[in-house]
Amino acid sequence: MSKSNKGIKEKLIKGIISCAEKSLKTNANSTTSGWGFQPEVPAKIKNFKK
Amino acid sequence: MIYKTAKVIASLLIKHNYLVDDDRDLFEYGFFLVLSQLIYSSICLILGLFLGCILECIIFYIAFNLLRKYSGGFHASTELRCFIISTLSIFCSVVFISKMNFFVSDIGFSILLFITSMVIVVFSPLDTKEKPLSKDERKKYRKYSLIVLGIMLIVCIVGFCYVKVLAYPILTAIILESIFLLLGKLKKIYLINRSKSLTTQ
Repeated sequence: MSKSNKGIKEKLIKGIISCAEKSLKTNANSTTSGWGFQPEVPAKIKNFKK
Repeated sequence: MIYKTAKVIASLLIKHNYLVDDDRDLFEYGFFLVLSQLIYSSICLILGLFLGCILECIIFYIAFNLLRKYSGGFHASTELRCFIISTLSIFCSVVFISKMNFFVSDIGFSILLFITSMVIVVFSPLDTKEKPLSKDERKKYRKYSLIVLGIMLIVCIVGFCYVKVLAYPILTAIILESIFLLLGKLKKIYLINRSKSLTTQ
């Protein structure tokens, strides 16, 4: 894989992880998960509470 | 299906050392939240595109999510059931928005807005056993949900007089949230009664 492709891949993965972290932060400070299913909430989500 | 995909993504990222194994549960849940939003917003946008009311669909989606975030409400017991119910409710809402002009009179609009808002005022916030709220959280989220509802009511009433494109999707979001709150309350009562009857047997 070329250097630029690797850079794009890294950025994409970091973006996906950051998206998940933002969703966790929102979810930690709300009543429910929104649409769809509400799975068991992991205990570590407390770290994201304001 | 969505949760399984989230698990696969988390496993891949752990395997390639982007995440640590200790955070597996947390990120599986995080990816599940992202994927759910992506899927349901896409369904809403595609339906809006087909029925020619894409702007109304965007407003509806944002309004519903804002209300749902603090008010909570019904969740089905399995992922498949939840997917079917959510997709059906989005479909019905989009059809309702696109046809509201034809079958909701001014009085009907006011009555619907009043009754459904009252349901939210009475039952909000409604938590689930998977994500129970503490006393403080309940108080805080009730306050937030009432603020959100109040702002939506103002926008909805002003919109009904001047910009109908704003009023119809917000009313639909309030109606849908009140239905989910009622269903959630009924489910909670049913579960409490069932556990009581099981303990007495």
